Amino acid sequence: MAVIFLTAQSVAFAEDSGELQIRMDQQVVYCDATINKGEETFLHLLKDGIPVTTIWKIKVSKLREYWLNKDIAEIVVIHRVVPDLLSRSWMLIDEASGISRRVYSTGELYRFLSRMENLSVLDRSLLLDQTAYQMSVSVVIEHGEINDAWWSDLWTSVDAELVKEFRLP
Amino acid sequence: MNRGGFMRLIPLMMAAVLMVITVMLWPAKDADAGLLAWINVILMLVTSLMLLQYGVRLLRESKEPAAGSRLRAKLVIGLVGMLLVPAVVIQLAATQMVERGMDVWFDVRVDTLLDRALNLAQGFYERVETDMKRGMLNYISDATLLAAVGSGLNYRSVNSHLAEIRALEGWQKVELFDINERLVGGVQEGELSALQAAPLSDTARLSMRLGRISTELVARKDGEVAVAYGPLIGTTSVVGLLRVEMNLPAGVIQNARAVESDYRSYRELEHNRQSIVATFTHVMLFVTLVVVLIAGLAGLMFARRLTAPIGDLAQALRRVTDGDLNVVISESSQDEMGSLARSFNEMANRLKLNVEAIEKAQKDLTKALENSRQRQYVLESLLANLHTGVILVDAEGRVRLLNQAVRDILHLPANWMPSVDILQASQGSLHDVGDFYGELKHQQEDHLQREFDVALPHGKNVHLLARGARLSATASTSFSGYLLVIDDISDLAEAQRNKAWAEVARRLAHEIKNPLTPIKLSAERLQRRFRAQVDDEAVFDVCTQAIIGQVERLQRLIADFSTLARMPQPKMRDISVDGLLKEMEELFNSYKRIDVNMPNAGWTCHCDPDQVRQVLINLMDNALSATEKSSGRSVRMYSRVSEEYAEWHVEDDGEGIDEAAVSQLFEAYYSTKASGSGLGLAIAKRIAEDHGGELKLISNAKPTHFCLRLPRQCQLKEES
Repeated sequence: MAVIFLTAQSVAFAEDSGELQIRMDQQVVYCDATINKGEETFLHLLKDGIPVTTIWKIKVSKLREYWLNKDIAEIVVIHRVVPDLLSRSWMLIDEASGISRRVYSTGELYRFLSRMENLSVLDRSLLLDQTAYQMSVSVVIEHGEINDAWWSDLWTSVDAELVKEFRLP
Repeated sequence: MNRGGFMRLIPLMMAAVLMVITVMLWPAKDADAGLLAWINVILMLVTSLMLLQYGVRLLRESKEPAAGSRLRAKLVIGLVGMLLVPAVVIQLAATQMVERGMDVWFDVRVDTLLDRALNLAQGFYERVETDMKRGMLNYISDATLLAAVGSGLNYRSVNSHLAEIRALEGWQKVELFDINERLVGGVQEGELSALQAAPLSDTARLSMRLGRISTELVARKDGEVAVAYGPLIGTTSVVGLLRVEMNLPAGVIQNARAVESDYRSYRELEHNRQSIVATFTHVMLFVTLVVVLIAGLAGLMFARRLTAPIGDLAQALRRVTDGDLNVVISESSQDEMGSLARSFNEMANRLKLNVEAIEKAQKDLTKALENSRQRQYVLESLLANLHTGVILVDAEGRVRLLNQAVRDILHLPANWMPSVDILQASQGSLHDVGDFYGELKHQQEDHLQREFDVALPHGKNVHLLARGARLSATASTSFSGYLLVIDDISDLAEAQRNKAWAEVARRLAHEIKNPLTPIKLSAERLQRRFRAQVDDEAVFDVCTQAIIGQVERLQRLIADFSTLARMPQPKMRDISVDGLLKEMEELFNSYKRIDVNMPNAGWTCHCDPDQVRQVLINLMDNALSATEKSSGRSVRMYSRVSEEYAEWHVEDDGEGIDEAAVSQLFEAYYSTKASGSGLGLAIAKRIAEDHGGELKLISNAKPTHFCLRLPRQCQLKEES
């Protein structure tokens, strides 16, 4: 099946916090996101053995002029890096899929934490033609163990937020 | 500024301080305390706003504070202050303790110790890997193994060689893969080798691709395993891979992992050091704020509960001060406040009863005063309209009361005021009254009655009847003095005199009139019969004529007395005023010295013409008698008529009447003429009075002027 990638018109920058790209083929809308966080942001924690997690919350909403935007889809992707001080390696864990792998280079873990590539966001059939939509990606960087308590989500500070509007071509 | 004003500013100052602290503690965007910091900020803002509102209310109430509000404010501020100060001290002390604790916990020696422990653990792993790599170096060019991956040996021979290697190196597991990652052979300590080996990991593939020995750790259920990958290098390239495993000792691994875990925990805490301090500080601040807020609210409620009765009491006192005595406050509590409320209610009730009693007494007094004023008014009106003079003299001799009748009777001057000593004021017409008072004062009896004449100015005399009584202080009044009552009995005395004279006249008429006629007849008979027989006719005639003349005079005198005694009732009818003048002119036309002036205006008067004519004749006779020696028109008669009165005037230019005789001129039996009976003017005056008019002497000389004044529509005196 021939895949036709339709690249979105522009690249969004939100306060230089990162880069968001929206792509879509005939069935699926994808996104590529990168946050502008230096490697040291993660490494100074990881070198001390402290796990670091980036929580990516991707939300697609329909733009409305005189009312709140209507949410169309929302997915959460959690990338977690657990250092192994004894073997000087890092375990990369994708909490959504449960896939993990061990790496020995810092470049890999940096990419793992700061980038999200080719993520399938939603089915294109959910979107209407000639309608404006907005995709927002908010990234929260956590360190240490993740608190699973219900109230932990009440007060979270977003470390990076990327927003971009798009329409079906 | 006074102390009360400073107290009112305390909440505002506390609010300002709290707001400054709030701004200082405003959380940064990446604050460590997060939610708790914002909760504290909200709590501080709420507290400062409440303080601000309370302070503004206190300032508004500064002029007219609600009852009990000041005491309530003092209590609340005191309670919160007592709690706030130790809370702030505890907060500061706790923060300092945490800071010190942090310094102790994250001491550099601990840090070094943990680093060394981790290095030891890491050294164990490195040693294992190094040993495995060194051992692996011996086999990467092993001919047997190369032959095995090149399919030069059977499976049994390969496994046998692998077993030798495992035994020699002390590995737990040895596996041999060809370039296609196909298991060529494998041995395992204590177990049979699996026919199907686990797939190669990325590390193994990378090792095979790079031709480099590498190791990795694999965590399994039964513990951790060190895995080494050794590429088998043929003549030109890698032809296979040797994978060996060695189980790590459980005790060492457990300790190493414990060291790693502790190190991680320590480092995590160290990274969160500021966050821990901030969290502790904000927790303490939160607790402090909540405690202060709750204590403030509890203090406010307590203060309200405590000050509410005081406020009610103050409000009630204010109402009582404003005159509202229908005040009852609640006596619900059983403590001292309840006792105070009961005492207040009792006091207010007594006060109300007293005020009601006072109001009732005041009403009674007002009523009594009104009655007294009415009585005084009646008394004053009575005294003012009384024709009897009343003089009240106190014990010191001062005139306390004197009515108008006294002034009229005694002709006192208008500026003569009471409150003077009656004896000092006893001059002129009051002289005789003063004598009477002096006699009453010095006598033993309480009552005194005297009649005396008082000479008034202008030569007029009045005959007074004075009665006096001594007033002594009684139980109802403390006044003591003398009451003098004076009556003008001049008219009564005159009437009594007239009556007496009338009685005399009646008796004279009865006793004397009857013998006179035979005496006169006998004298006339003697004159007729014996005149010729007497020797001296002249003497005889003189004597008999004297008898006859004196008898006639006595008869006229008795006739006048009879007239005075039995004055006939006037027969009233309308007559012409000028007609009477004309009759007088005709009657006295023989006298040339009479001048009668008649205006001829046709006026009439309702009177008895005979009696009026008698008066005019009497006046004319007197005038003619007084002017016998005069010449010319010495007697003038004329009339004056107004709407109400008709007046007949008789003037003569005679010698006039003495001043001393003026007062007795109209008394009966008083005459200045030797042959007069003294009854003419008395009768004339009585006729005038019977007509409701008067006969006045206008002037006693030059000219002597009499005026008869009668009302034109006069009624009989008895009828009016």
